[in-house]
Amino acid sequence: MAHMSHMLQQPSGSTPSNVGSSSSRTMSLMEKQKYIEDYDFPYCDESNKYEKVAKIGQGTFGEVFKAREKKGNKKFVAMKKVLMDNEKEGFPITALREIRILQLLKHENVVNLIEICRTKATATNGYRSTFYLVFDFCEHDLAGLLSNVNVKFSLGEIKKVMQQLLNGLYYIHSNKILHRDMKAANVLITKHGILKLADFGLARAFSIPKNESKNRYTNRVVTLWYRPPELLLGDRNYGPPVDMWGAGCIMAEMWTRSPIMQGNTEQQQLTFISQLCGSFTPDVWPGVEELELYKSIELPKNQKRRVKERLRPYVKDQTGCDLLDKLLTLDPKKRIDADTALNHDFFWTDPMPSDLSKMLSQHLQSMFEYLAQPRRSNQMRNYHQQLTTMNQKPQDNSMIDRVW
Amino acid sequence: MTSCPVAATRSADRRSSRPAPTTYWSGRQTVSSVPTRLPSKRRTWGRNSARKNQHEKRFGCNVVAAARGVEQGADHEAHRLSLIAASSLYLAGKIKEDETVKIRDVINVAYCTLNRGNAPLDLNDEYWSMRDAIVQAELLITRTLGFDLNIDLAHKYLLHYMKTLQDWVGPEVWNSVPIAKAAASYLQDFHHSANILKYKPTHVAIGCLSLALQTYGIQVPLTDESDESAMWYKPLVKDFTRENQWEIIENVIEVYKHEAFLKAA
Repeated sequence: MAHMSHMLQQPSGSTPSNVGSSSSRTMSLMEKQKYIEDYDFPYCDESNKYEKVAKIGQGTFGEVFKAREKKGNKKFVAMKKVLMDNEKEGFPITALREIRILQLLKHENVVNLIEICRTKATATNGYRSTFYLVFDFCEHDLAGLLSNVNVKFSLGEIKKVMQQLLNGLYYIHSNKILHRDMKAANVLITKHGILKLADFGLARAFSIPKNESKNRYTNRVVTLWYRPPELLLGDRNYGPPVDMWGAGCIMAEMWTRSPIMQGNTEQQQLTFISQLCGSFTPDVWPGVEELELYKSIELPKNQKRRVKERLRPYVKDQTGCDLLDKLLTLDPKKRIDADTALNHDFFWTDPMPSDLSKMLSQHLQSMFEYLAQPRRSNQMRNYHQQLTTMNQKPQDNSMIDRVW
Repeated sequence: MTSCPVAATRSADRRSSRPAPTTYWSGRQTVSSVPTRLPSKRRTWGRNSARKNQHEKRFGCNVVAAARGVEQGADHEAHRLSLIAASSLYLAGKIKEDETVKIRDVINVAYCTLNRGNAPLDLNDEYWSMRDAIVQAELLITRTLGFDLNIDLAHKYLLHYMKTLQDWVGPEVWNSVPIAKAAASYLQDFHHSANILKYKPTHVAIGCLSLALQTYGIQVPLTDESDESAMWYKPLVKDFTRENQWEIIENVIEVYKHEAFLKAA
């Protein structure tokens, strides 16, 4: 506590009226500590208004807890802890970005940020507050649902999931936001069957570059298995199509029940993409030859496009195959956008999109039993564990901790 | 603080939208309340980290450190304000994703504003305590504002209103006098006054544009000065009234009186 004694000499004043005068500049250590502890931030509530129930996520982005409001209607929330690792730079710019984006986005299919909370600064935390992002609680995530064999989606229900997902993407893209981390684990679904896009930790605002200028965004985004070919080839002037590729991967996963292209390295991921979507040539993708890594990376040649052919055994539905084909288009300029995708026949032919709540209510019981069982999907976990190097985002927790 | 208007402006702006505390950065309590941290948890940097750590024990636990380090016993109030200003500038850089606003630049600007003629700080104890103070003050600001950091500025509204008026009055009249420039200047200068926080950004934009039109005696076609409902701004901002107009204009002009006062002093 040696350092504390110096605080006695810090200019602090005791009443506003004699600020700056030397007589006001001492405050006893105890007074000071109490003062800091009791300092009130009327617009930033304390996190202890919620009561932690369980830890539901862990990764480099921090920890996520399920919690419950102590007062009021005692509703459940999800609390995401803000990691303050680089304290020399202050509040992390990534967290600021996430907060501002979430404050901007208010939509049924985007996770709702309720508030930011802080812990009281006390002696036990070294007088440093911890910050939490507080969200409406969602019972499931898509990765969890898909990894549970007892959860079966009908075609109408799959359509509903995809329609909501594309609705969310349409909304965020219209607001000039890129999600940049589309994957099944970041798609939450409430017990009422409402889908919410979540985890905007990698999201950013984008602009459409004018004239000759080009954006220079980082291409080290998106979990490898859902990463589109343009990012893998080093594109830095990308846009909404990066999220549409992820939507395509997720859509296929609705039937295959596990990620369709599980590369261990960027090179392998590109190979898998080529094997499914055909070789990358300037013919099918004008401009690909200008991407940074096009020449330096070994790409499979003479591969035929086999999207429909390989997915039909799973998907069966013809319009579904067609939409997948359009989402998993190599050339980002030709890839279908959210608006056009929502108008696709897939959503407007029988069986029409149908409500998920009934199906989910059947499985509520088993989902909770499932949580009590030892971890399943070990196979998935191994896959994930191999992928430690390529992304800041962890890929490990998605299947395991996010299942309720 | 006239010494650092940019920073003061940016952080002040966002308070306009809430029933904000009016004096929270003017009292000592704001500054001295920032939570301290345990030095033992800190990372070390560079070779003389031991010394820095020790130094931080002394300074790092309080935002007032900067003031103390810079000029002990002098005008603390000014230093506190400049610290909040510097921290606001740093935070604004993060929010606007302006990667050119690095913390060292902020420190240099803040330091050299307070110490006219001095060279920028070396990476010494004073630098590190100032840096720590800015980072701590940032947490204070964000919490005080409840993390509501999306700032709705008047500029974009002004731009769109001018775009509309440009067609409305026609290129001949519009190009004959520098209305756009004047309106933009009024808006810029109005940010030197805390009064800007009292008004909605849409109202501020109309107020500045209105003053510019009057400065050059431009009458917007098909509008009637004598009839409130037929004023040119009505189709642009429905809840704007003649009273708003005069009040804002008066407040803008007030800024220039202040300027005259400063020059005289």
